[in-house]
Amino acid sequence: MQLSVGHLFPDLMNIYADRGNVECLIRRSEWRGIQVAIHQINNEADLDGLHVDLLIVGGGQDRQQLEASNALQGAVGNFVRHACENGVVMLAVCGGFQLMGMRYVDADGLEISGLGIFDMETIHPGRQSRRAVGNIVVELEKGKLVGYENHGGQTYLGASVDPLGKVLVGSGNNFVDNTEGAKLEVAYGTYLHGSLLPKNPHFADHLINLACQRYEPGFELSELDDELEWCAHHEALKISGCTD
Amino acid sequence: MSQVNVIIFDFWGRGIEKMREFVACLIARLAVWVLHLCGRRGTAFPGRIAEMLHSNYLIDLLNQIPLGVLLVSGTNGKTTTSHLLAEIIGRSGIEVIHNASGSNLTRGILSSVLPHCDWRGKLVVDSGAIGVFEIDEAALGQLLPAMTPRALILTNLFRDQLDRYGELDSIARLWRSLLMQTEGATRLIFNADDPSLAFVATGYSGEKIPFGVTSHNLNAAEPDQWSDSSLCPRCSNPLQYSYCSYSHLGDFVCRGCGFAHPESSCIGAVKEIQGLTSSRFSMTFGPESIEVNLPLPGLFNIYNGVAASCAAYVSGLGIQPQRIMDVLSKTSSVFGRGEAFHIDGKVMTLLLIKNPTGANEVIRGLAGLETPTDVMVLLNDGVADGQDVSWVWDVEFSMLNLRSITVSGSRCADMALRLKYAECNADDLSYVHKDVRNALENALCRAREHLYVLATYTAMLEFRQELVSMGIAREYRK
Ligand SMILES: [Zn+2]
Repeated sequence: MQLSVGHLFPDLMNIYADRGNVECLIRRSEWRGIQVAIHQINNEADLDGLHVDLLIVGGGQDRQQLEASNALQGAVGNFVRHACENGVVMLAVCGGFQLMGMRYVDADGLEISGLGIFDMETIHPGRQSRRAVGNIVVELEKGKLVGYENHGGQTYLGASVDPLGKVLVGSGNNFVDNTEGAKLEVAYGTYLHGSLLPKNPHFADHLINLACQRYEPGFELSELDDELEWCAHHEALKISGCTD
Repeated sequence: MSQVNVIIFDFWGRGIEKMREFVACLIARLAVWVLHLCGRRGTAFPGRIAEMLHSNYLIDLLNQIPLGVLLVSGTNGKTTTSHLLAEIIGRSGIEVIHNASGSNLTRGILSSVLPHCDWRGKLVVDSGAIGVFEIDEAALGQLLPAMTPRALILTNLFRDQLDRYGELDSIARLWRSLLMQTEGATRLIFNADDPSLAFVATGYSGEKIPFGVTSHNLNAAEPDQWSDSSLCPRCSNPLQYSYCSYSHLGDFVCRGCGFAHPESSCIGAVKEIQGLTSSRFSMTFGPESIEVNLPLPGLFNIYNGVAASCAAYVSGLGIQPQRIMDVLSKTSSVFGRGEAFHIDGKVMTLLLIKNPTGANEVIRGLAGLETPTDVMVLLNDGVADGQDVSWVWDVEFSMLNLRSITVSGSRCADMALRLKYAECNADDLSYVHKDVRNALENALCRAREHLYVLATYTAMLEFRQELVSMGIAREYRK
């Protein structure tokens, strides 16, 4: 089997070690004999006839995020929207997550329009306001996610989208409602970097599995030795004062 | 208020000020003395006490230094650059006050000045003394508006501890606005190869001295896609590079707005880099040129050497290039930054890693060695390290050619995981120890001749302290 992964704006949106997530998808697939081809997706990419199973986008600084959002207004945006409509799996982290909402109002009050995959909006209350910074633990339906968050923007979900999980430690989407991230069918958004996928192998495998199901319904991922992964996961839980 | 009242009030006010100075200094000096007795030096603690008692005390003291102050700031290379600069000036017969321990917040600087004060809290130094201080990027804002340094040396701006400093752009923005508010009496010596710094400098009206390094034959023409600032700081178009020395440093131009690399007045030309031991480069200051054999590792230290030389040369202290060449050729590594120790017939080199750029340069040096290396990595998540350890995923550990690897530190599990995904000798990853002494013994056992220890800031301090208690390292004093 060969998975095709589209990495959105690797040159602009890569500030919080987002390459760790990409590296994790590649390794965990390859260790199971699944080949992974990575395609860079930006204004320079040839998107004609490009097929992807999974899309991934990371975080960026304000200026880079603005560039990315401009690019999303054109062919790249159409490509991503079309992919999502066709059930391509997506993971959007931090700044990339914000861009997948309806709109983002940055620290200077400038309104940046998002791609509208998720029914949500993000407001940055200004440079002097409190940022959400620190270790974070999120409760999913099954299991937990551990990571680190660092964002100025406050995200509020609309009615037609579910949160990814509930915040146990940290801030998540905003300082108010204890929600973290967003989930719409097979599209996921989250504020967790740090690096998300290596330290949460269950979530990494969930994404890989979804992508594989597109090829072969009923396909089963083989087990990996995840001792180090779970060790780092549990250490992160402990640092945040959580038990399993 | 009558004239007499004003005088009395003023006298009373100054009396209180003097009294506070006296008390602040006395208590802080007592703290210096107690710490000395306990065998601990170079901490910021006495400075913190003095600062608590008298918040303007540091500025008062700095303003008393006869030849003024040279400040060094930037993401990487502050400690080495200021060390080289202090050494060049000191060897020229000028008394130098310097925060050698790398404690670089205002309280750390204050701690380093306190030993030069008398019991009343007044500075007692040579009439020709000068201050050389490294200062934290964010803390620069506490000094610049309140004083006029003789020179400000800016080394570089890389992504670093985003949880602490925020985005790269926000430090650049802060510096630019600080410089725009000054009167322009400070010499600004900056790394012209760094687009962010070149842009920071455009906001400054005073004297500017750009420096740079050329290394055409050594490196790629383009920064890799993970580098920090691929966009023009002025108009956000992508920058074009005719060459790139490392990360985003190089000769850049923006096709959008024409913003380009300023012409350097002091240029280092790389001749050779010998692994993690030394390098050779030539340096031109206007009409004069010297050859330097620098016994420090890597390209990043050539930048530090050029920054320090440039600052020493242009600071109006009458220092000749020949003197600079002599001092640089005989210098040794600073505290934890390439320091070598001898233990059980083996050599151990301690290399500080703080952020992706610095760590990648160290990895590049290790990867350039001919034989497989024995490496130990210590990853902590203290406030001074950055509590967000995700940056290790931006370090290219996969480039390492390893014989053995050992992992320790408060976040050793994260580090081990990073190495697993970099596919560094995965079976060797069972050597993960929380306890640093344990880790060291294990790593030494397995190392053939030379053990390289890569450590984050607080891990480096702890590790060095461990070496002191084992009788391998000496307490750092300067
Ligand atoms: Zn431009």
